[in-house]
Amino acid sequence: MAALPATPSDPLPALAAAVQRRFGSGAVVSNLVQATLGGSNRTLLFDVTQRGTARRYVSREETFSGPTNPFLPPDIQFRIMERVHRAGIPVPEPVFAYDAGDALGPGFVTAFVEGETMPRRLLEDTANHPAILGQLAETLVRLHALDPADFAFLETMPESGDPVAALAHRLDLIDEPHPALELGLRWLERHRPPPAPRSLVHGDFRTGNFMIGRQGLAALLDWECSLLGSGGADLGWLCTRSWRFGRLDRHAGGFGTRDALIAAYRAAGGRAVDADEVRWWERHGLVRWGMYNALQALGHVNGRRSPAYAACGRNTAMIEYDLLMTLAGTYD
Amino acid sequence: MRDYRPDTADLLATVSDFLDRIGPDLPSGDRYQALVCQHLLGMVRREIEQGPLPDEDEPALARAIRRGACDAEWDAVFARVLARTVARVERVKPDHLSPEHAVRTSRSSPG
Repeated sequence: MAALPATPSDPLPALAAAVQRRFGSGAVVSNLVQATLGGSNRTLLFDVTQRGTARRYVSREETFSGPTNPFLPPDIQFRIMERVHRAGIPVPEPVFAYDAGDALGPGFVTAFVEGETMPRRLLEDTANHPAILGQLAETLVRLHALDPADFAFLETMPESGDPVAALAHRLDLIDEPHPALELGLRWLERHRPPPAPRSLVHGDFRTGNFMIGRQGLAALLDWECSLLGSGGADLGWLCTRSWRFGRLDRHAGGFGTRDALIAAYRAAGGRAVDADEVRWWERHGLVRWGMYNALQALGHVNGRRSPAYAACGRNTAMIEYDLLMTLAGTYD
Repeated sequence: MRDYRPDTADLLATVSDFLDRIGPDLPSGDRYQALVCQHLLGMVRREIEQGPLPDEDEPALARAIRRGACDAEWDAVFARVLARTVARVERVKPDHLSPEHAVRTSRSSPG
Protein backbone atom coordinates (compact mmCIF):
# COMPACT_ATOMS: atom_id res chain seq x y z
CA MET A 1 0.00 0.00 0.00
CA ALA A 2 1.37 3.35 -1.02
CA ALA A 3 2.05 5.83 1.74
CA LEU A 4 0.11 9.04 1.66
CA PRO A 5 1.96 12.37 1.83
CA ALA A 6 3.56 12.65 5.24
CA THR A 7 1.45 14.46 7.80
CA PRO A 8 3.30 17.08 9.83
CA SER A 9 4.45 15.93 13.26
CA ASP A 10 2.79 18.94 14.86
CA PRO A 11 -0.64 19.17 13.22
CA LEU A 12 -1.76 22.27 15.15
CA PRO A 13 -0.98 24.94 12.51
CA ALA A 14 -2.58 22.90 9.72
CA LEU A 15 -5.60 22.13 11.89
CA ALA A 16 -6.02 25.78 12.94
CA ALA A 17 -5.87 26.83 9.28
CA ALA A 18 -8.46 24.21 8.28
CA VAL A 19 -10.78 25.29 11.09
CA GLN A 20 -10.41 29.02 10.31
CA ARG A 21 -11.20 28.38 6.63
CA ARG A 22 -14.65 27.17 7.75
CA PHE A 23 -15.33 28.99 11.02
CA GLY A 24 -13.65 32.33 10.36
CA SER A 25 -10.37 33.84 11.48
CA GLY A 26 -11.67 34.37 15.03
CA ALA A 27 -11.84 30.63 15.74
CA VAL A 28 -9.09 29.43 18.07
CA VAL A 29 -7.93 25.79 18.24
CA SER A 30 -6.61 24.54 21.60
CA ASN A 31 -6.25 21.48 23.86
CA LEU A 32 -5.08 19.34 20.94
CA VAL A 33 -4.30 15.70 21.78
CA GLN A 34 -3.64 12.71 19.55
CA ALA A 35 -5.47 9.50 20.48
CA THR A 36 -2.91 6.73 20.98
CA LEU A 37 -4.97 3.71 19.85
CA GLY A 38 -6.18 5.03 16.52
CA GLY A 39 -5.90 1.81 14.54
CA SER A 40 -5.43 2.63 10.90
CA ASN A 41 -6.43 6.28 11.32
CA ARG A 42 -4.86 9.29 12.97
CA THR A 43 -7.35 10.68 15.48
CA LEU A 44 -6.98 14.19 16.93
CA LEU A 45 -9.16 15.73 19.63
CA PHE A 46 -9.30 19.50 20.01
CA ASP A 47 -11.35 22.49 21.17
CA VAL A 48 -12.53 25.33 18.95
CA THR A 49 -13.35 28.57 20.76
CA GLN A 50 -15.57 31.11 19.02
CA ARG A 51 -16.96 34.24 20.66
CA GLY A 52 -16.01 32.86 24.07
CA THR A 53 -17.67 29.47 23.62
CA ALA A 54 -15.55 26.31 23.36
CA ARG A 55 -16.68 23.10 21.72
CA ARG A 56 -14.74 19.85 21.38
CA TYR A 57 -14.19 18.17 18.01
CA VAL A 58 -12.56 15.06 16.59
CA SER A 59 -10.45 14.86 13.42
CA ARG A 60 -9.95 11.49 11.73
CA GLU A 61 -7.41 11.04 8.95
CA GLU A 62 -6.69 8.00 6.83
CA THR A 63 -3.01 7.13 7.19
CA PHE A 64 -2.64 4.59 4.40
CA SER A 65 -4.23 3.92 1.08
CA GLY A 66 -3.75 1.73 -1.94
CA PRO A 67 -5.39 -1.02 -3.97
CA THR A 68 -5.52 -3.50 -1.07
CA ASN A 69 -7.20 -1.01 1.28
CA PRO A 70 -10.76 -2.35 1.73
CA PHE A 71 -12.00 0.71 3.62
CA LEU A 72 -14.22 3.46 2.23
CA PRO A 73 -12.45 6.74 1.46
CA PRO A 74 -13.07 9.38 4.15
CA ASP A 75 -15.20 11.61 1.91
CA ILE A 76 -17.60 8.71 1.35
CA GLN A 77 -17.72 7.97 5.09
CA PHE A 78 -18.52 11.63 5.65
CA ARG A 79 -21.41 11.52 3.14
CA ILE A 80 -22.87 8.46 4.88
CA MET A 81 -22.60 10.08 8.30
CA GLU A 82 -24.30 13.27 7.03
CA ARG A 83 -27.30 11.29 5.80
CA VAL A 84 -27.48 9.07 8.88
CA HIS A 85 -27.18 12.10 11.17
CA ARG A 86 -29.97 13.85 9.27
CA ALA A 87 -32.18 10.79 9.87
CA GLY A 88 -31.69 11.26 13.63
CA ILE A 89 -29.65 8.09 14.15
CA PRO A 90 -26.96 8.63 16.83
CA VAL A 91 -23.67 9.40 15.07
CA PRO A 92 -21.04 12.07 15.79
CA GLU A 93 -22.27 15.24 14.05
CA PRO A 94 -20.29 15.59 10.80
CA VAL A 95 -18.78 19.09 10.61
CA PHE A 96 -16.52 19.24 7.55
CA ALA A 97 -14.39 17.01 5.34
CA TYR A 98 -10.82 18.02 4.46
CA ASP A 99 -10.25 18.99 0.84
CA ALA A 100 -7.37 19.98 -1.44
CA GLY A 101 -7.17 23.37 0.29
CA ASP A 102 -6.14 21.75 3.58
CA ALA A 103 -2.74 20.48 4.68
CA LEU A 104 -4.50 17.62 6.50
CA GLY A 105 -6.47 14.67 5.22
CA PRO A 106 -7.94 12.81 3.56
CA GLY A 107 -10.25 12.82 6.53
CA PHE A 108 -12.96 14.76 8.30
CA VAL A 109 -13.98 16.53 11.48
CA THR A 110 -16.95 15.62 13.64
CA ALA A 111 -18.31 16.84 16.97
CA PHE A 112 -16.83 15.07 20.02
CA VAL A 113 -19.18 12.63 21.73
CA GLU A 114 -18.72 11.80 25.39
CA GLY A 115 -18.88 8.13 26.29
CA GLU A 116 -17.15 4.78 26.58
CA THR A 117 -16.11 2.48 23.73
CA MET A 118 -13.66 0.10 25.47
CA PRO A 119 -15.26 -3.37 25.31
CA ARG A 120 -13.82 -4.65 28.60
CA ARG A 121 -15.15 -1.65 30.51
CA LEU A 122 -18.55 -1.80 28.81
CA LEU A 123 -18.92 -5.50 29.54
CA GLU A 124 -17.88 -5.31 33.21
CA ASP A 125 -21.19 -3.97 34.49
CA THR A 126 -23.96 -6.23 33.21
CA ALA A 127 -26.88 -4.35 34.81
CA ASN A 128 -27.55 -2.15 31.78
CA HIS A 129 -26.85 -4.82 29.16
CA PRO A 130 -30.50 -5.63 28.31
CA ALA A 131 -31.17 -1.90 27.80
CA ILE A 132 -28.07 -1.46 25.62
CA LEU A 133 -28.98 -4.54 23.57
CA GLY A 134 -32.46 -3.06 23.01
CA GLN A 135 -31.00 0.27 21.87
CA LEU A 136 -28.54 -1.45 19.53
CA ALA A 137 -31.36 -3.48 17.97
CA GLU A 138 -33.62 -0.45 17.63
CA THR A 139 -30.84 1.59 16.03
CA LEU A 140 -30.15 -1.19 13.56
CA VAL A 141 -33.84 -1.34 12.63
CA ARG A 142 -33.83 2.41 11.93
CA LEU A 143 -30.60 2.19 9.96
CA HIS A 144 -31.85 -0.71 7.86
CA ALA A 145 -35.10 1.17 7.15
CA LEU A 146 -33.29 4.09 5.45
CA ASP A 147 -33.85 4.36 1.71
CA PRO A 148 -30.92 2.58 0.02
CA ALA A 149 -31.36 4.93 -2.97
CA ASP A 150 -29.91 7.72 -0.79
CA PHE A 151 -26.71 5.68 -0.56
CA ALA A 152 -26.47 4.68 -4.22
CA PHE A 153 -22.85 5.91 -4.24
CA LEU A 154 -22.01 2.69 -2.34
CA GLU A 155 -23.16 0.49 -5.23
CA THR A 156 -19.69 0.39 -6.78
CA MET A 157 -18.08 -1.19 -3.69
CA PRO A 158 -17.42 -4.93 -4.14
CA GLU A 159 -19.03 -5.47 -0.73
CA SER A 160 -22.33 -4.14 -2.10
CA GLY A 161 -22.32 -7.05 -4.54
CA ASP A 162 -22.32 -10.73 -3.64
CA PRO A 163 -21.02 -11.08 -0.05
CA VAL A 164 -19.14 -14.33 -0.74
CA ALA A 165 -17.55 -13.09 -3.97
CA ALA A 166 -16.53 -9.84 -2.24
CA LEU A 167 -14.67 -11.78 0.47
CA ALA A 168 -12.99 -13.99 -2.13
CA HIS A 169 -11.91 -10.84 -3.99
CA ARG A 170 -10.35 -9.32 -0.84
CA LEU A 171 -8.66 -12.60 0.02
CA ASP A 172 -7.09 -12.77 -3.44
CA LEU A 173 -5.60 -9.29 -2.98
CA ILE A 174 -3.75 -10.49 0.13
CA ASP A 175 -1.79 -12.97 -1.98
CA GLU A 176 -1.16 -15.48 0.83
CA PRO A 177 -2.87 -18.89 0.82
CA HIS A 178 -5.34 -19.49 3.68
CA PRO A 179 -6.96 -22.94 3.26
CA ALA A 180 -8.93 -22.49 6.51
CA LEU A 181 -10.51 -19.24 5.25
CA GLU A 182 -11.18 -21.00 1.91
CA LEU A 183 -13.08 -23.74 3.78
CA GLY A 184 -15.14 -20.97 5.36
CA LEU A 185 -15.79 -19.33 1.99
CA ARG A 186 -16.76 -22.64 0.43
CA TRP A 187 -19.14 -23.40 3.29
CA LEU A 188 -20.71 -19.95 2.88
CA GLU A 189 -21.09 -20.55 -0.85
CA ARG A 190 -22.95 -23.84 -0.25
CA HIS A 191 -25.22 -22.72 2.61
CA ARG A 192 -26.51 -19.32 1.53
CA PRO A 193 -29.45 -17.80 3.45
CA PRO A 194 -32.62 -16.82 1.57
CA PRO A 195 -32.49 -13.43 -0.22
CA ALA A 196 -33.03 -10.46 2.11
CA PRO A 197 -34.23 -6.88 1.50
CA ARG A 198 -31.51 -4.46 0.40
CA SER A 199 -30.52 -1.96 3.10
CA LEU A 200 -27.79 0.37 4.17
CA VAL A 201 -25.52 -1.87 6.29
CA HIS A 202 -23.21 -0.22 8.83
CA GLY A 203 -20.64 -2.92 8.09
CA ASP A 204 -18.57 -2.67 11.27
CA PHE A 205 -21.30 -2.82 13.90
CA ARG A 206 -19.57 -4.43 16.88
CA THR A 207 -18.63 -3.82 20.49
CA GLY A 208 -15.84 -1.24 20.40
CA ASN A 209 -17.39 0.72 17.54
CA PHE A 210 -20.28 2.27 19.42
CA MET A 211 -20.10 4.77 22.19
CA ILE A 212 -22.15 4.29 25.34
CA GLY A 213 -22.87 7.36 27.46
CA ARG A 214 -24.97 7.96 30.58
CA GLN A 215 -28.17 7.75 28.52
CA GLY A 216 -27.06 4.55 26.81
CA LEU A 217 -26.13 4.44 23.12
CA ALA A 218 -24.56 7.82 22.28
CA ALA A 219 -23.05 7.28 18.82
CA LEU A 220 -22.30 4.72 16.14
CA LEU A 221 -18.68 5.13 15.03
CA ASP A 222 -16.47 3.76 12.22
CA TRP A 223 -18.39 4.03 8.96
CA GLU A 224 -15.49 2.80 6.83
CA CYS A 225 -17.04 -0.58 5.92
CA SER A 226 -20.60 0.46 5.05
CA LEU A 227 -22.33 -1.19 2.11
CA LEU A 228 -25.68 -1.99 0.56
CA GLY A 229 -26.87 -5.49 1.32
CA SER A 230 -28.65 -7.63 3.88
CA GLY A 231 -29.21 -6.09 7.30
CA GLY A 232 -28.53 -9.58 8.66
CA ALA A 233 -24.85 -8.77 8.10
CA ASP A 234 -24.92 -6.21 10.94
CA LEU A 235 -26.60 -8.66 13.34
CA GLY A 236 -24.15 -11.42 12.44
CA TRP A 237 -21.03 -9.23 12.68
CA LEU A 238 -22.13 -8.10 16.17
CA CYS A 239 -22.50 -11.79 17.17
CA THR A 240 -19.20 -12.90 15.60
CA ARG A 241 -17.17 -14.77 18.21
CA SER A 242 -14.26 -12.31 18.08
CA TRP A 243 -16.51 -9.51 19.42
CA ARG A 244 -17.82 -11.35 22.50
CA PHE A 245 -14.63 -10.49 24.41
CA GLY A 246 -14.69 -13.71 26.40
CA ARG A 247 -18.45 -13.67 27.12
CA LEU A 248 -18.87 -16.55 24.73
CA ASP A 249 -22.48 -17.42 25.59
CA ARG A 250 -23.55 -13.78 25.15
CA HIS A 251 -23.22 -13.86 21.39
CA ALA A 252 -24.41 -10.30 20.72
CA GLY A 253 -21.18 -8.45 21.39
CA GLY A 254 -21.14 -9.67 25.01
CA PHE A 255 -24.42 -7.86 25.79
CA GLY A 256 -26.90 -10.73 25.38
CA THR A 257 -27.69 -13.88 23.47
CA ARG A 258 -28.19 -14.14 19.73
CA ASP A 259 -31.85 -14.97 20.32
CA ALA A 260 -32.27 -11.90 22.55
CA LEU A 261 -30.84 -9.69 19.80
CA ILE A 262 -33.13 -11.24 17.18
CA ALA A 263 -36.15 -10.75 19.48
CA ALA A 264 -35.19 -7.13 20.21
CA TYR A 265 -34.73 -6.43 16.48
CA ARG A 266 -38.19 -7.84 15.80
CA ALA A 267 -39.74 -5.97 18.74
CA ALA A 268 -38.32 -2.69 17.36
CA GLY A 269 -40.12 -3.28 14.06
CA GLY A 270 -37.41 -5.13 12.15
CA ARG A 271 -38.02 -8.19 10.00
CA ALA A 272 -38.11 -11.70 11.46
CA VAL A 273 -34.54 -12.97 11.20
CA ASP A 274 -33.76 -16.66 11.55
CA ALA A 275 -30.99 -17.61 14.00
CA ASP A 276 -29.31 -19.67 11.28
CA GLU A 277 -29.18 -16.58 9.04
CA VAL A 278 -27.34 -14.74 11.82
CA ARG A 279 -25.02 -17.76 12.24
CA TRP A 280 -24.26 -17.64 8.50
CA TRP A 281 -23.20 -14.00 8.87
CA GLU A 282 -21.10 -14.87 11.95
CA ARG A 283 -19.18 -17.39 9.86
CA HIS A 284 -18.88 -14.77 7.12
CA GLY A 285 -17.62 -12.48 9.89
CA LEU A 286 -14.92 -14.91 11.00
CA VAL A 287 -13.65 -15.28 7.42
CA ARG A 288 -13.74 -11.51 7.08
CA TRP A 289 -11.95 -10.87 10.39
CA GLY A 290 -9.29 -13.43 9.45
CA MET A 291 -8.86 -11.67 6.10
CA TYR A 292 -8.48 -8.25 7.80
CA ASN A 293 -5.78 -9.61 10.10
CA ALA A 294 -3.87 -11.17 7.24
CA LEU A 295 -4.21 -7.83 5.44
CA GLN A 296 -2.64 -5.95 8.38
CA ALA A 297 0.34 -8.30 8.16
CA LEU A 298 0.66 -7.50 4.45
CA GLY A 299 0.71 -3.82 5.37
CA HIS A 300 3.40 -4.56 7.95
CA VAL A 301 5.76 -6.32 5.54
CA ASN A 302 5.07 -3.59 2.96
CA GLY A 303 6.35 -0.92 5.33
CA ARG A 304 3.54 0.23 7.63
CA ARG A 305 5.34 -1.49 10.48
CA SER A 306 4.30 -1.98 14.09
CA PRO A 307 4.34 -4.81 16.67
CA ALA A 308 0.52 -4.93 16.60
CA TYR A 309 0.34 -5.28 12.82
CA ALA A 310 3.03 -7.98 12.93
CA ALA A 311 1.02 -9.87 15.55
CA CYS A 312 -2.15 -9.61 13.42
CA GLY A 313 -0.63 -11.83 10.74
CA ARG A 314 0.10 -14.70 13.10
CA ASN A 315 -3.10 -14.11 15.11
CA THR A 316 -5.03 -14.97 11.94
CA ALA A 317 -4.50 -18.63 12.93
CA MET A 318 -6.60 -18.11 16.08
CA ILE A 319 -9.49 -16.70 14.06
CA GLU A 320 -9.15 -19.59 11.61
CA TYR A 321 -9.30 -22.00 14.55
CA ASP A 322 -12.51 -20.34 15.81
CA LEU A 323 -13.92 -20.51 12.28
CA LEU A 324 -13.18 -24.22 11.88
CA MET A 325 -14.53 -25.05 15.35
CA THR A 326 -17.68 -23.11 14.46
CA LEU A 327 -18.05 -24.85 11.07
CA ALA A 328 -17.60 -28.19 12.88
CA GLY A 329 -20.48 -27.27 15.21
CA THR A 330 -18.30 -27.38 18.34
CA TYR A 331 -18.53 -23.61 18.83
CA ASP A 332 -21.75 -21.62 18.53
CA MET B 1 29.74 -26.37 21.63
CA ARG B 2 27.95 -24.15 19.18
CA ASP B 3 27.10 -20.62 20.19
CA TYR B 4 28.54 -19.19 23.37
CA ARG B 5 26.28 -18.70 26.38
CA PRO B 6 23.53 -17.64 26.67
CA ASP B 7 21.38 -19.94 24.49
CA THR B 8 18.60 -18.71 22.23
CA ALA B 9 15.84 -19.21 24.82
CA ASP B 10 17.87 -17.17 27.29
CA LEU B 11 18.30 -14.32 24.76
CA LEU B 12 14.52 -14.20 24.30
CA ALA B 13 13.94 -14.33 28.06
CA THR B 14 16.40 -11.46 28.53
CA VAL B 15 14.50 -9.19 26.11
CA SER B 16 11.21 -10.29 27.64
CA ASP B 17 12.36 -9.53 31.20
CA PHE B 18 13.55 -6.10 30.08
CA LEU B 19 10.16 -5.33 28.48
CA ASP B 20 8.45 -6.45 31.68
CA ARG B 21 10.61 -4.07 33.67
CA ILE B 22 10.12 -0.95 31.52
CA GLY B 23 6.46 -1.64 30.61
CA PRO B 24 4.86 0.10 33.60
CA ASP B 25 6.84 3.31 32.92
CA LEU B 26 5.78 3.62 29.27
CA PRO B 27 2.97 5.87 27.99
CA SER B 28 -0.22 3.86 27.37
CA GLY B 29 0.20 3.41 23.59
CA ASP B 30 3.77 2.13 23.96
CA ARG B 31 2.79 0.01 26.96
CA TYR B 32 0.26 -1.74 24.75
CA GLN B 33 2.88 -2.27 22.01
CA ALA B 34 5.31 -3.64 24.64
CA LEU B 35 2.69 -6.21 25.65
CA VAL B 36 2.29 -7.12 21.98
CA CYS B 37 6.08 -7.51 21.77
CA GLN B 38 5.93 -10.02 24.66
CA HIS B 39 3.32 -11.92 22.64
CA LEU B 40 5.67 -11.89 19.61
CA LEU B 41 8.60 -13.15 21.69
CA GLY B 42 6.41 -15.97 23.02
CA MET B 43 5.65 -17.01 19.44
CA VAL B 44 9.35 -17.11 18.57
CA ARG B 45 10.14 -19.15 21.70
CA ARG B 46 7.45 -21.73 20.92
CA GLU B 47 8.45 -21.81 17.24
CA ILE B 48 12.01 -22.71 18.26
CA GLU B 49 10.75 -25.35 20.71
CA GLN B 50 8.33 -26.93 18.27
CA GLY B 51 10.39 -26.73 15.08
CA PRO B 52 9.19 -25.69 11.63
CA LEU B 53 5.74 -26.60 10.31
CA PRO B 54 5.93 -29.49 7.83
CA ASP B 55 5.93 -28.49 4.15
CA GLU B 56 2.53 -28.38 2.51
CA ASP B 57 1.36 -27.03 -0.84
CA GLU B 58 -1.12 -24.59 0.65
CA PRO B 59 -1.55 -22.47 -2.50
CA ALA B 60 -2.76 -25.59 -4.39
CA LEU B 61 -5.00 -26.65 -1.51
CA ALA B 62 -6.52 -23.17 -1.23
CA ARG B 63 -7.27 -23.13 -4.99
CA ALA B 64 -8.77 -26.63 -4.88
CA ILE B 65 -11.09 -25.74 -2.01
CA ARG B 66 -12.12 -22.51 -3.77
CA ARG B 67 -13.16 -24.29 -6.98
CA GLY B 68 -15.07 -27.01 -5.13
CA ALA B 69 -12.60 -29.80 -5.91
CA CYS B 70 -12.52 -30.84 -2.23
CA ASP B 71 -16.30 -31.00 -1.74
CA ALA B 72 -16.39 -34.80 -2.16
CA GLU B 73 -13.73 -35.36 0.49
CA TRP B 74 -14.75 -32.44 2.70
CA ASP B 75 -14.30 -34.18 6.08
CA ALA B 76 -10.78 -35.40 5.29
CA VAL B 77 -9.65 -32.02 3.96
CA PHE B 78 -11.30 -30.29 6.91
CA ALA B 79 -9.44 -32.53 9.41
CA ARG B 80 -6.15 -31.85 7.61
CA VAL B 81 -6.63 -28.07 7.65
CA LEU B 82 -7.79 -28.13 11.27
CA ALA B 83 -4.68 -30.08 12.34
CA ARG B 84 -2.43 -27.53 10.65
CA THR B 85 -4.40 -24.66 12.18
CA VAL B 86 -4.02 -26.23 15.64
CA ALA B 87 -0.27 -26.46 15.03
CA ARG B 88 -0.20 -22.74 14.16
CA VAL B 89 -2.20 -21.77 17.23
CA GLU B 90 0.16 -23.85 19.40
CA ARG B 91 2.84 -21.37 18.41
CA VAL B 92 0.78 -18.20 18.49
CA LYS B 93 -1.22 -18.65 21.71
CA PRO B 94 -1.68 -22.24 22.92
CA ASP B 95 -4.25 -21.32 25.56
CA HIS B 96 -6.59 -20.22 22.76
CA LEU B 97 -7.14 -23.91 21.94
CA SER B 98 -10.17 -25.79 23.22
CA PRO B 99 -9.28 -28.57 25.74
CA GLU B 100 -9.70 -31.25 23.05
CA HIS B 101 -6.69 -29.80 21.18
CA ALA B 102 -4.73 -28.35 24.09
CA VAL B 103 -3.18 -31.68 25.20
CA ARG B 104 -0.87 -31.63 22.21
CA THR B 105 1.15 -28.72 23.61
CA SER B 106 2.74 -31.05 26.19
CA ARG B 107 4.61 -32.91 23.44
CA SER B 108 7.15 -30.11 23.01
CA SER B 109 10.29 -30.74 24.99
CA PRO B 110 13.38 -28.63 24.36
CA GLY B 111 16.66 -30.58 24.23
